[in-house]
Amino acid sequence: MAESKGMFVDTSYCTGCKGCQVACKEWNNLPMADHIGFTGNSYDNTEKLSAQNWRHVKFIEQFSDDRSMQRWLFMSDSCKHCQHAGCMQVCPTNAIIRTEFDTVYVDQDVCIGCRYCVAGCPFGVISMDEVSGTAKKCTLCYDRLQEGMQPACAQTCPTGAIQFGNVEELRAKAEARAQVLRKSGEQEVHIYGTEETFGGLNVFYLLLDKPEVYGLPTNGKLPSQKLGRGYVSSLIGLVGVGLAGLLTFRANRMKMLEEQKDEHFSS
Amino acid sequence: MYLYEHGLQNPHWHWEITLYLFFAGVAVGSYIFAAFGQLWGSKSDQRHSITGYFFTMPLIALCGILVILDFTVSDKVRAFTRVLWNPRDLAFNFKPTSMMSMGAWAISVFGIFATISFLYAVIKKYQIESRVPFSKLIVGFHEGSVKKIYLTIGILLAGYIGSYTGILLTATQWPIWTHTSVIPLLFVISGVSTGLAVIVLAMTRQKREAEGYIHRLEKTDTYLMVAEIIVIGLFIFNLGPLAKVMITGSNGLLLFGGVLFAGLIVPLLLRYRPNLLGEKESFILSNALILIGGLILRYVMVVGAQNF
Repeated sequence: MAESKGMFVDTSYCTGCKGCQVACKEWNNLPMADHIGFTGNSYDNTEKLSAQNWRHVKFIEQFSDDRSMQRWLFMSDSCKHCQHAGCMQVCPTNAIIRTEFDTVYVDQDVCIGCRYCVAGCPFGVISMDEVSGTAKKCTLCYDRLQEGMQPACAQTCPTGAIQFGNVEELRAKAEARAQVLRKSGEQEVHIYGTEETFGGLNVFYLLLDKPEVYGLPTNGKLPSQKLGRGYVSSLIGLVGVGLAGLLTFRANRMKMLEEQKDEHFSS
Repeated sequence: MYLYEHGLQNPHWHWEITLYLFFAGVAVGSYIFAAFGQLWGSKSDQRHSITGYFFTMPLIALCGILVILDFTVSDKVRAFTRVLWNPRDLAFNFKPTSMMSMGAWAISVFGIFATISFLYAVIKKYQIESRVPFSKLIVGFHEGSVKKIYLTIGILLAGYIGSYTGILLTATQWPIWTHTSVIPLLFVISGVSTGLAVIVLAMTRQKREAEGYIHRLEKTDTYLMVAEIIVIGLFIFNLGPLAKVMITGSNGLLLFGGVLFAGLIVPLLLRYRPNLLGEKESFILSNALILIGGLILRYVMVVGAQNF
């Protein structure tokens, strides 16, 4: 396998221009959404990641109660290409694979449209394409990577908020940048996507506030980590059912055998 | 609720999955109690128990059709084969981390058991042992020296499928499904309860000759229904603030009115006081309501839980 490829998204540089979204749509030939409108909560009009939007710039508009203070946070969101990917774990057909670049890719020829990956992704990244009926998400421009190019979004980003490269090198860059920001007074700087988050995210973020503010899970669990308690729960039910069956039939059988024995002795 | 939960994508599982989980539960329940009857029952119980086998195989086949219908790709039938076989890797798909993969294998293997038991039931009911190929083998599985091993494996597979229907939901990221581990327990109890209701309902015409057997099944089902009421309470309690989604609006109406009242309390009442409607009417209505309640439960859990 080649070195792990990924992205460092430095939200402190993001201006919310959505150039990355446009580049993604153009390169991947993604159609326009049927409906475009404001959410009512934000100036954002893409709302969320979808089969048509593999990249989405989140707008987090923070205002004080009296609206005298305000801050806009932006986060260019996409598939995080998790090291422990929930979608990959639950996919029953192995359609979701890890590529030679250590990224997570949906093989469109093997996907059957069961939608279990949609329910298994902790970030709400995957959704279904209505035309092909298959699961779609960011491929980290797999086709461009194969040609030695960087993903379209990273190439387009005018401020350098999206940096593409080897994950280890990017992590070092992120740490250095976080140090600089902390020194300049940004106390809530977080690097999101370290090993504690689903084994590490190949696409990780420098955030200016808590991850929850950006709608990112902090204590997420993989679907496989939830299997154990499910099995225990159902086992309790099955033991109960087994006991019920035993009492239903066994007791009656014993009674009948007893009666037969009595009849035999009395005759 | 964390903000990120609003950003989660909805798998859009609708009627196909609702019916699939319901029929799988009924199939499992009817098989388990048919096998229990054969393993532990008296001679008469063993004779009556075969009724359960008539339902398992057709319902499992129906489950397969429903799964195929649920796939969103155009070539649905070919997609179905890909759950087990990966044409890209030229290898079987067997993933313990994916409940869908495990469930597909369990249902496929159980399908063989269900088919053999279905044939056994047909042979026994119509006394056509001489006309069915391999009938000695089929009967031997259920009555011969390997009976205990065969039926135990069948019961374990059925139990696994019963568990899988619930774990399929809990091993996801969707808030209601994953906030509580009670759903698998609830689906196991409800599945067996509906399976018993189907067997009992199918024996309406033999009510007199199989009175003792039916009475015992109904008694067991009564205990299961009481357990189901308790587990539903536990489910709501476990959800914490998310319970609001399930107990208000249409979900609340379906859960309280459809599942708890119509599907559990009324059948319990009719069993306790069969003279309220007449014995035969109460018998049929109570079991029919259990089935309807079981279906509504799956609907609320699958479709209702996605609507927020």
